[in-house]
Amino acid sequence: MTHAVDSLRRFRADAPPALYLLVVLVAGLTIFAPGFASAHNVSNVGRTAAVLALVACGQAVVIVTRGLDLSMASAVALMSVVTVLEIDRGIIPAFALGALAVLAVGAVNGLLIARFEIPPFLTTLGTLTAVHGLSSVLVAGIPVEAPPSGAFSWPSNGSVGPLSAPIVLALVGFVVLGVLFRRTTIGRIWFLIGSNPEAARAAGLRVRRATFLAYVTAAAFVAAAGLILTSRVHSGQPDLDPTLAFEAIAACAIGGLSLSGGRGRVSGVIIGVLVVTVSANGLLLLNVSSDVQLIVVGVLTVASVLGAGATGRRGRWSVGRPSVGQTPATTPAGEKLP
Amino acid sequence: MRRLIAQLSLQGIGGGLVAPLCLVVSITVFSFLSAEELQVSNLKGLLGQMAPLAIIALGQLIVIITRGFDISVGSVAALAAVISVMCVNALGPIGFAMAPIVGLGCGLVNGVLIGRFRVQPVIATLGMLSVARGLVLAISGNQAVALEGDNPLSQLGYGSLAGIPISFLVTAALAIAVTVMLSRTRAGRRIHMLGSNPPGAELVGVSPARTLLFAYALTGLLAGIAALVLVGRAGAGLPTEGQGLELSTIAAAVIGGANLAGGVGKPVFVLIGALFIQSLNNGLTLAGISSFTQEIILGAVILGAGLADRAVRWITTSQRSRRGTDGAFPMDGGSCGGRPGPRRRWLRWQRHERRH
Amino acid sequence: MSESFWISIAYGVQDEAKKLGVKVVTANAGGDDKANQQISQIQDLMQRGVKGMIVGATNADAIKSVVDQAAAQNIPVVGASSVPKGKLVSQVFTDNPTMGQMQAECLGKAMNGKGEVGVLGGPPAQTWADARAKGFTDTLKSKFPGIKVVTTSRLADNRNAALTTVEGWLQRFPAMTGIYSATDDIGSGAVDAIQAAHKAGQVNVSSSNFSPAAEQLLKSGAFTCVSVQEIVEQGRQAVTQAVNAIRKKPVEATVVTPVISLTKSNFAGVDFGPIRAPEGYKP
Repeated sequence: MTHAVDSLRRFRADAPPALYLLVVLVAGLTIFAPGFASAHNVSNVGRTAAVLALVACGQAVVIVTRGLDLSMASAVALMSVVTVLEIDRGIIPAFALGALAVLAVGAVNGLLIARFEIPPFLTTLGTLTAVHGLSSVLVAGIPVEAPPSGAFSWPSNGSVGPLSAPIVLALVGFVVLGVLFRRTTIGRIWFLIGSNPEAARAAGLRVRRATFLAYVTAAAFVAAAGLILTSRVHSGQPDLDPTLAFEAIAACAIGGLSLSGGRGRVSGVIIGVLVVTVSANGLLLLNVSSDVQLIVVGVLTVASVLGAGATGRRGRWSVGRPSVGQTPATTPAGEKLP
Repeated sequence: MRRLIAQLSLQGIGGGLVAPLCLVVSITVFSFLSAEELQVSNLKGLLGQMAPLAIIALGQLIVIITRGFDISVGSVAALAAVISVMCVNALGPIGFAMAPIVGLGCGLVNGVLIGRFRVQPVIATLGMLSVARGLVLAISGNQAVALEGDNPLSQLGYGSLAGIPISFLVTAALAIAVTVMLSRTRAGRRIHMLGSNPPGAELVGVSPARTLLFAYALTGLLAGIAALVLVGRAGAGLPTEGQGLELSTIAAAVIGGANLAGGVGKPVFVLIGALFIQSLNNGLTLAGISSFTQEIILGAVILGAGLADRAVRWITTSQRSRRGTDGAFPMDGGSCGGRPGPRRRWLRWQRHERRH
Repeated sequence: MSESFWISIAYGVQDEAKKLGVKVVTANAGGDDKANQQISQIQDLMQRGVKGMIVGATNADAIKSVVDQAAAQNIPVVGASSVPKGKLVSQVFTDNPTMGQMQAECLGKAMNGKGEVGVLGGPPAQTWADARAKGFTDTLKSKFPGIKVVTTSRLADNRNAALTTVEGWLQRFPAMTGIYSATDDIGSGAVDAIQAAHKAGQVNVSSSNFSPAAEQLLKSGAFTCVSVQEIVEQGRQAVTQAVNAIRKKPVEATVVTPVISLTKSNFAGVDFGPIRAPEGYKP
């Protein structure tokens, strides 16, 4: 009995504060928003959340290394454009080429950030701009339609057993992220880089290689999201989902990942993604006017991060700033280091 | 040559060396593309056009020095522009005062969130970006709000004094004010200290909450002033104006030598950074290059600025023995002009702490 | 406005200019929200000493004063499609309210005069989008009182956003049987959502403008109808008027190009020459 109380207490201490927000959101919307809890809407939310989930997984990888990737929206747009332009080679090779383009963007980010130590914000701001230009040039700014095909639509509309394909992909993404964070050396190096880069270097770890791999891994997650999105809009769009990278950053922050690196859990990412998607869906179902939606989303983002600060998880002032009084070599929230 | 560069950078110019370099390169390139680029009159045009970008980039510089940035500036400028035009239509020219007030208000909110509640700048200003944009769309009813009657600010948008665009005079005056604030006042010193060594700054009694509040409030205020220039040019408040401005102003500041790791940056170079971005747009447009290709080039330039900054630092630090850096990271000088970099200073401070 | 629209304008302008033997410099502000950038570009073109100017406004109010400045320098300015305020020698545009009206008439008929519609009104603060949506809602009110507009979104101005929005709508308004979309790109997103919800054939979608994507969707019946303007013709007319103004020949102050409502059945007989740039054209 005491054991159960104990673990419950530990769960309460461990659970990201955003979990409570999510519970309140879901409860409130179930009561007030018509059709929110219907099976069809749940599947809609799931499929929309899946894209954000995969991108947020990528964002989480670079955020724990004290990084940031703004270029993700441009990368998925490039993937959609490349895929549709190369569709004559067959659907799988076309998607593979699109994914390759995303990985190339990730490799450029990784190279510049790891090898030349250009700040991640600046690097990915550059690739965000350049890659958007590139995908626009490839199609002269006009969206290109993919020929109708069941296989092309599968990643967004298909299903595996009872689950729809995007949800399966997102679940796989979460499992991969969990394994990377908890079971692999590279994952631990990422956390160490994020919490104390000097210590990581002093320990003789190959920090550069790990940083490079973080951006390429992030790109791999983004490519999976791009697969769903491209299939979803069934076309190559230079302006596919312009706010995607920022939504992912918000989701990670809401889920309790520290933007100063070294701290974060997969459960947090899941909760953050759900908060963002559920609130957007709820506002739509409540038929709130579109500008009020923007206001509510903004307030919600800041409020939930503030909530995280208020419940004892101290926020930090800014990216890259170690907080006073914290010993950098250990990470809180039970992340064990090698 | 190395010594010369090192000398320059010892005087604190190192980071800013990139911007003039870029400008010279771009003007040389454009002189092959079109003769117009080098004409004095066109330069005047550029100086006038760059005002909104340059003014906000100055604000961006202030928060970048504190290791932050502000991605809400574009939305805030739109909100300030629309509210001020509505007030002018209702109350007369006194309503223009609302633009800086709205800007300042938004900046204060950012500052409280970031300084007092320690929300990361990217989240706090992302929230403000969304809220300000939603507000401006809601109060304007998704419509542009035109000034009724003549535009009292058209001189600010288009006029010139003794051949110099008035908007540039305003920009220059603001740049001087920011320079004085950063280098001659206590507040400026606090901003620098906080950016180059946050724990150290706190130890010597700099309040991060107040300093950050001040920095973000100023950035908001400058966004509000830039809104006046936008109204001067457009004669209307546009609820959709300013999208993308947040990123191009950060780019201008960084091309102008501001370092996102904090502690470094000079307003005059930021003006040059802004002029460079404006001349890039202008020159490439006149050369008939599509806006898409312009984006590719701008992206490449941002990356190039990062690389060039790195190269300048590397050259200057290789003058000195690179002691203290481990073998795996020969390039991690992390320092500018021989001063230990923020991270190294932080470490040094930590070591110091542990000893006691 | 969608990029494909301006590319068809650019084609009309360049093709006609070639025939008339005049040189064209084009500048793209890079989006409807970039009014300040457009002001700078117009200043640059004045600086460059162009003889005449054709302007499609990012925002009609915002570029009024710079258009007046060009007029003061004796540069004739022709407003094309999205006509700016200010001193113009000629205005060439299509009848945006009529485009909306035609969509209302066709949707109304397809819905048998009753039911619920959602309005994907296009990007906020755009005169053309406002006029088009107003033409739509006004016509519904007067001719089809049995049809109710239940929701409106101005944020969903790209295909993916439209898709997510309409997914929510279909959930919230199960009785919705019609959707107005400001452009074909936004409309494509609505169609994607309808197909994903297995409601193809139950919800009618009307749209405006005619890119290759819209052609496929009209052929397959996913779009009930598309209001089409003569985009290339607008470009040609704009050049003609501008050149006439420069050469001191008589200028038509207003040129309104006609609007056609395309459906699956009348689609085959239409000449697309004046409507859109030939495939493969790149500016």
